[in-house]
Amino acid sequence: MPKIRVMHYVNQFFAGIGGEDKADVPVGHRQGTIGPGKRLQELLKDSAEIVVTAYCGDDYFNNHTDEATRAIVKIAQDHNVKMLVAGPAFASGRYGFACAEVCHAVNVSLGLDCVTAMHPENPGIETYKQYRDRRVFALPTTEIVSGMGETLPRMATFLAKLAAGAAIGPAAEEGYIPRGFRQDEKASKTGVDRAVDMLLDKIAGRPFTTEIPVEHLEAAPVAPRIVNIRGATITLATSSGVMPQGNPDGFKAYRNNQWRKYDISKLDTMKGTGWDVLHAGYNNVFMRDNPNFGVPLDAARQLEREGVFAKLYPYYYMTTGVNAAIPVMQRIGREMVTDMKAEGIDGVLFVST
Amino acid sequence: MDTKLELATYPVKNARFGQKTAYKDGILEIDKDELVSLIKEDKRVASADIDMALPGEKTRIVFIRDVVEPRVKVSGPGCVFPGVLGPVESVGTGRTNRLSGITVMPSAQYKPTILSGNNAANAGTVDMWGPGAAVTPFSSTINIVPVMKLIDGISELDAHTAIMMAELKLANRLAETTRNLKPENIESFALFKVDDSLPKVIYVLSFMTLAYNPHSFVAYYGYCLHDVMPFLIRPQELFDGVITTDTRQGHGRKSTTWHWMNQAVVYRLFREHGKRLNFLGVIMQRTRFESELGKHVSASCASEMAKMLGADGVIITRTTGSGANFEDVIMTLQACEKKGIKTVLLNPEWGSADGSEPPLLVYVPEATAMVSTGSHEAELKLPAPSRVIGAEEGQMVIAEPGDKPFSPWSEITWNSYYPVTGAPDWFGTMSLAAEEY
Amino acid sequence: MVQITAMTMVGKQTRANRIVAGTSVPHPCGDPSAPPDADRALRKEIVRTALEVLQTDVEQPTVFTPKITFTAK
Repeated sequence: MPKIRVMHYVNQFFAGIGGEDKADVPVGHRQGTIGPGKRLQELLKDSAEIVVTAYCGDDYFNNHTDEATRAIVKIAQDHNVKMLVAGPAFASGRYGFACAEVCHAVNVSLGLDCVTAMHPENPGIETYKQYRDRRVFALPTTEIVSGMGETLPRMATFLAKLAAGAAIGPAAEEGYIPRGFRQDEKASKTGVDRAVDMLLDKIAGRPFTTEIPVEHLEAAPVAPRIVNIRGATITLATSSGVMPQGNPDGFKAYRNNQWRKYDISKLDTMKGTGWDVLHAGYNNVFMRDNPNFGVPLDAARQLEREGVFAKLYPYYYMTTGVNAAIPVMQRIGREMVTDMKAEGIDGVLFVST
Repeated sequence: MDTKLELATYPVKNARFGQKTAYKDGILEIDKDELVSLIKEDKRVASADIDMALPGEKTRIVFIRDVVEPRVKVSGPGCVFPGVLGPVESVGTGRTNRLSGITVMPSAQYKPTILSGNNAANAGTVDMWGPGAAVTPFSSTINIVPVMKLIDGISELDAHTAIMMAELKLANRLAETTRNLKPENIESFALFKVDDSLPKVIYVLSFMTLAYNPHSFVAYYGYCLHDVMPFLIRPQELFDGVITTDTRQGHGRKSTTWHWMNQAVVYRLFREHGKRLNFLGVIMQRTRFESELGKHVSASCASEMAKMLGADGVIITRTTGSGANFEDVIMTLQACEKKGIKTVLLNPEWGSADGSEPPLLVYVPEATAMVSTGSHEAELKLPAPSRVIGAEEGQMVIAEPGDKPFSPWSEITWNSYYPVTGAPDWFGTMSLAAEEY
Repeated sequence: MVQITAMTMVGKQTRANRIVAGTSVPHPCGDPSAPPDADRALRKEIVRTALEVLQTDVEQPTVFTPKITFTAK
């Protein structure tokens, strides 16, 4: 059986071109292995063959990312490689970023399995987790290059496994840095048995590992305050599923994927003016009877008349938000905001149930 | 000294329809006519039949409204399902017979009058084979399915009562077959005095009820729990069916009556009692207060109760994917940790069909120990069955108002475990987990 | 944007920076058990608070509580 053809990606330093002074060197390549690739090839034995090494200066890559990745993908294509290995980059941020970008580009455009390695706090890991490619794997390394000796054997073992077409299991089992996918597994013990074990460990002060890691959403930028509210156009928006009678736009009560805006320009209240509610996440009885609970038109109209703000926008924005996919809701949010900006809206009162 | 409850188990290895209703050597024979007429005593039932599904068969059951295990009280005060099938008498002592490995799983159709919101009726599906079987315990039980249609114009509350009474009466009748027979095994459950050095554990069993529903979802001794504050129970009571549920809702979003009477956490804590830990009891915590004030007060109350009882640690579970409910649960966890009580949260996760979204809705630094029973949003692809129970030839099924109708004879793809009765795994009954990739 | 919600914990988690505590999940702006006049006054106070919050500087998700009385479930 012919050996699996592999391309190795390294920066200018590991390609032996030079240090910081050569960081602006553009993409190039050489047949066979260079630098750490030599030892990697020895470890790979017959499982795979590094047929070409692509390199690029760290600054060049960071300043010309699109151009550089295109050139690197082309080298991979021209050499008909079946796999990519990049790095290891250790704690070097620009190099780590390049490894993650190259892996992503090669994976997406050529569908190849890619392996890289770097320190878990290398900024390249953020890029890696953002892309979440199912067939790109980053192995953890030390911060400094002295870890090369123990990193390369792990990379070789992982590459050999991919080359052999073996299934890759969970991150904890296989030793790669998790990309952020979670998948159901059959455990050896029931959920409750694991919970009792964990609780007794926690009480006794023994080490234990939570099965659900804490995740943090990124902070959202803060919109500046409205300085002149008396001159502002304000709109009402809601995720409570208040809509015209009979659901004319075909909203789903659950896992909905669209939004609309409906005319309220001639109304002073939402009560008894022909509205309906569709939302599977709360008891709709009150909202149905008085949609002002979700679209506080009566109050907003009064405050508009009192001159507290200049103008109530003639429509309200709505969606039904329950168990919806986050990317779908983010899209809905972006689309609403784009529309609001185009309509010259200064402030939004968003009511959620 | 706590009085024990004995659960006497009569395993059902096979079941068949026959001339009489009787249990012998692991085989349950069922007189279909007798049971059908039992259901038809209720004038709210327009038509009824009884079917049966066996594990491994390519059978799909639809319009499922609940699941229950056949049990009957043979000694001690009260009855199984007190407050519903008999007077309110404190249960959880004496002896209760159970037929294990078999359920009563009502499939019922009626015209709903609540057409939106979380108080609308819904129906579940169970596949006895294939990928759908992996996510519910009810693919490995023999399921006796009363297939019912309710009369026109029935109210939501009457629909619930009719389905529940049929289900419980049937279960009770089947369990009656064990009276005076020798069980295969007897297990005793008691909170006897133990070595004081063992860690003291409380189970905070949180469950969602809705304050405004015809039925609140969960009833204790037949009393619908609306916006009550946490209360303490003798854990054995659960095994005698003190909790019944809204039988208009058979989706996985609701814990079935079967799950309450086979409460996995309570079983486990009893079995560890005196060995690795000291089980102090169960705090029943109604959740999904609609205001944050209610949520905070409930969290404060449950944690204070656990502290007063001397708990070193608590296990917390929940019963729905409601986000508002999850807030109550997380606040309770925080309140316990702040009082020095160690917590473990045992629950399934969200995470979307491909597992790329955050597994939980809200994170707090106190939640350091969580056990996952898998995602309930993963994709489920169910192949077409050979047989369908609960629907007429060619009939489409609407799992809940507003849902797209589906043909139960076809292949189905769902991005959620909710449509499957008994999934997701709220109490850690099964061996499901989630791993990071 | 200001978010009016009875689930401020979720609002904070999803990084809404300006949050006004609503009365209750199924009716964030008002109290159906109050007499209609009181309910309207309550709603007006919530909206008034929200408009004030739009004019307030914040640095991170912050919850503001309107000065209202309601019966909570």
